[in-house]
Amino acid sequence: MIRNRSVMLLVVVAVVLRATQHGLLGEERERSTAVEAQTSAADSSDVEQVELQRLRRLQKLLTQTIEGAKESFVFIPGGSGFIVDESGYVLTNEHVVAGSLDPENTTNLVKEVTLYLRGGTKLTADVVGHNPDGDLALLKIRKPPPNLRALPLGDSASTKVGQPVIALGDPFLVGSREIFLVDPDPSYEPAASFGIVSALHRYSEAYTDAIQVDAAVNPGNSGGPLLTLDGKVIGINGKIENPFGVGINHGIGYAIPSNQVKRFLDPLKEANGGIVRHGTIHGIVVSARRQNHVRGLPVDKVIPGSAADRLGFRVGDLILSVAGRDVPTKNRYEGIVAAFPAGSEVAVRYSREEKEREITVTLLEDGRAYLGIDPAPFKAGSDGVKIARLLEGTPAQKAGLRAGDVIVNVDGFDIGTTKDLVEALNARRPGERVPFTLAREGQPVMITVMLGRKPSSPPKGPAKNE
Amino acid sequence: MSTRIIRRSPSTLPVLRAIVALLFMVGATSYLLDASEPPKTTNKPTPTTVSALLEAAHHSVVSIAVEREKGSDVELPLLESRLRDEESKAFFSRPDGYVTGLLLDSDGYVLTSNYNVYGKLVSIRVTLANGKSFGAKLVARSVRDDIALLKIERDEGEAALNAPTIRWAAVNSVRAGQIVFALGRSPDPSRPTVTKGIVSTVKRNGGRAVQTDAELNYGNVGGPLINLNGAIVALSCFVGHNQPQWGVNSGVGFGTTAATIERLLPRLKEGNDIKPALLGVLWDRKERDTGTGIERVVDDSPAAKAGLRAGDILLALDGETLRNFDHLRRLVLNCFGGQKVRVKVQRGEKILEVEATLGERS
Repeated sequence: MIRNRSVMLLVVVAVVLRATQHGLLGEERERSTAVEAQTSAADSSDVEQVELQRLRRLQKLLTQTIEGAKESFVFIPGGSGFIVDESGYVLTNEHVVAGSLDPENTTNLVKEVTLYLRGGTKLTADVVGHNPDGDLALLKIRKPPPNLRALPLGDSASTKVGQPVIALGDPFLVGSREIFLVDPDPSYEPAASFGIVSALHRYSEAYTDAIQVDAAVNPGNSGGPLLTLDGKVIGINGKIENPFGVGINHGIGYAIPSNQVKRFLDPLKEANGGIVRHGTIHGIVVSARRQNHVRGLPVDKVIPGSAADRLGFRVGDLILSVAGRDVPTKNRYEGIVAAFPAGSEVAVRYSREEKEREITVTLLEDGRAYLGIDPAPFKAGSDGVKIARLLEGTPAQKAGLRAGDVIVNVDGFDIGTTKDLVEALNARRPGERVPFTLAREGQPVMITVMLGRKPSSPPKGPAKNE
Repeated sequence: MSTRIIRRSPSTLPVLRAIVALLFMVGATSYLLDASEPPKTTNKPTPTTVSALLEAAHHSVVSIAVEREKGSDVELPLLESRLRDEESKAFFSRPDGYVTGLLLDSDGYVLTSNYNVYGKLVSIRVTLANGKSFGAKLVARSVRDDIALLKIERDEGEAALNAPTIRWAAVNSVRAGQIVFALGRSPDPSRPTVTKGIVSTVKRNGGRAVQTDAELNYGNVGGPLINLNGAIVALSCFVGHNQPQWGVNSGVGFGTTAATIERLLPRLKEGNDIKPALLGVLWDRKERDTGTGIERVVDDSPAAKAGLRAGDILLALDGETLRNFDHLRRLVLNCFGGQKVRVKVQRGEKILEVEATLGERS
């Protein structure tokens, strides 16, 4: 399983080369012209001369781009990052930021990190947004120096396989900590490695729509930029395949594409130190089987009452594209949907009975919806689910539900047993507002509950006002 | 095979191991050149093709067979005592086979990584690009720069070596992003190897080493990194000092710079091992904006002889303003034993300057 063979890295972002004026296409064109001109001579040394000239031109681009990009590089303990905005915003991987957490206590979010600019200027930054499922984190430098230089985010959609890329980072942290036995003064100088885009739209755990590169990225590169030869960020390096368990690069690295990063940037800025969740089209189960001879990905199941059900999806629909991108497999479908934050609107194109349709879907937060009650034990003949106790700070308590209330209906679905309630909640996503009908002291009461996200550790003790 | 998220820097040992690991796996040969022709020593025009460039450079690259006392390259006493079986010991020893070096001149001086000649040496045999092979002796080494100087031993009246002229890259010409080729002559002395990469950064090991993503593996370490002009940028090295075990290449390798080599070479040729210089002051562990405070001066140390005292704040060394104690250490370590340095000191309200003659660390 590919999933189990990969390693997150503290890695760098590489830039995608746009095949424009000084891009490679221009060079390739020039080269092929030169090659054609020499064909009659049939002398391979002429081709080699062109190769040497090409390398010299490439070298010029590499040195210029690396020189410029280094200024925006940031050392974060355990990894890399880069300045994305002169006002002091820094992008990195969530797993770099989380690196300063006590491994025993991963339920808390890191609030601030120390970082170093090139040359060793030490700064403190607040973590303004976490995106753990997509491995992104946005930092804001508290007292940004006036001369910060940002790296521009490029258009990862224009990335091509074979395009040359530069990964900038601090592999093995050799630039930010002492690794040579007798030299105690780290240089705080990032390292560049060079390679090409090996593949696009790779799916590997949290990296659901990743750019695969063969430039050397290693532990320490995580959070650093993947740059094009013209110095634009097309990805954030963060993960490598690890087939032999050695945890170092062997030519397969993954970067989060810059367009995904752009989509999360504003939500991260507004997250106020919280978590930005990924989106999902809730209630749709697509076929996991490889589809031969069928155009589109069949919908195998639609959960009753779910968002997909309400949007009108039916079993047997063939999903053709999401956000304009083909989804031939379950991985592609889930990978593309997961590359958007919750709340995004995406166009979904599907076919039913030979007719193509397109609808706009607002993505719901992924994860399971959470109410936060302890139901009373089931009694034969009872109608509805009685709340035995409410937990502190849960959605149920915030909405005003009380111990002793009996839940009889959730958004039109009658609730007879706890099983009915669980099914009704499973059809929903965190953040959805759902009307509940309760029996309170024999009287019906309507309350709208904003469902939450199940906490990783359950809240302790009953609510105090009960 | 488990999924791993590398959350933070590995501890020092794994880092070193990873760096050692950078360089393993024989067989990264991307070009094989025919080196059967004897080296041409005349001033040839600058090569105009990649293969001509490499071929010219390969005439200076030699193959070295090192015989050492078994196990003498393992310097992990605790570990060694625990390793009873030969297989485990073999894992912690250097791999067998040819390693690479650089023929400097017709006197027969050969430069290689200290890693390659570590341990108690029994014999060294150097095979030149033209296939001739000679015995050689270790002249001197610098552990902290991971380089060693060998000299070929020839009988009276033997034909001249006819070493090709070496071109070193100009000191300030090396930049991150420059394309480099790592040249080797292993596992077969008759056929050179080349791997390609870029200079990742020029600031490693206190500025004395470059980092490269060219594949460096056991065998081609100790050979030159050459640039697109065929000039030598660095000698590949730093595969882990006294850690002989070898791992996979990760794209993080190092090379001691031409500038460093040029600086050390005269001393090495005199047969002097290069040891870190010593001043003899201990830090007071107080962070300052500039300068570094002294808690204690070691008795009879160069610092004591120069008149430095506990409580002094060192402000500059040879005119370079000190940022902190690590900075002072780096500057001192970049000096030779016996070298005189000027130290600017704040003592109470007074600023004074003293001269110290640096010692050597063991």
